[in-house]
Amino acid sequence: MSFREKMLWVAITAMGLGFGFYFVTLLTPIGENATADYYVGLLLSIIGITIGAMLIATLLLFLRDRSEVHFTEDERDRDIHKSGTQMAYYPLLLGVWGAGILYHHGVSTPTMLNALLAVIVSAEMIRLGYQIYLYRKA
Amino acid sequence: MAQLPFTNNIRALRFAHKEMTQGELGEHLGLTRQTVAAIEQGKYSPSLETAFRIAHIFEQPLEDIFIWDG
Repeated sequence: MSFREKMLWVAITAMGLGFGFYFVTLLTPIGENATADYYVGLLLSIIGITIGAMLIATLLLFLRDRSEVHFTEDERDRDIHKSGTQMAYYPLLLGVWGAGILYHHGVSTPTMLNALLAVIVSAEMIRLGYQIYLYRKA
Repeated sequence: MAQLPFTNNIRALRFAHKEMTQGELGEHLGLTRQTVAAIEQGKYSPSLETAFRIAHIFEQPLEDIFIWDG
């Protein structure tokens, strides 16, 4: 498994767990009494934890075998990166339009912002997942 | 990803060149070991530039390294 594929696994796991927790909290009675500040704090924590997990994983991989750590993408990495981004583009576009339509039909601003966040996270998960699939296939 | 319409002799050429490892070939080409492995196994089609670089390293004509099967 290449360095970039390992980093994709770390990113998709951290994002899946972090944002999964966020949306479960948001959509269940657990978060009924939570304030907007709580959610902003939770969101910032999740972003920090995701970035932190990737930095720690990079450091651990570097310490284990520095020859495997490539900070620059080679041509296959670039192809996979591009394909993943293309795959995520249309779900992102449709999702943003969908959130806009929801807002037009009278949903509250926080709900629309959370819908937009869900769209962005979903698109990112599609991008990461498809890139992992391409690394696994080739 | 579909199998490519050409095969290659990179693995044999590596062994003929002082048993060069995939990692060493990757260093010469600016590729990761995994990308070299994917090219060798016919799972990834290298760019024309990389194909020429491989030919240059092994001092072989391009068509002796990549054989069209289509």
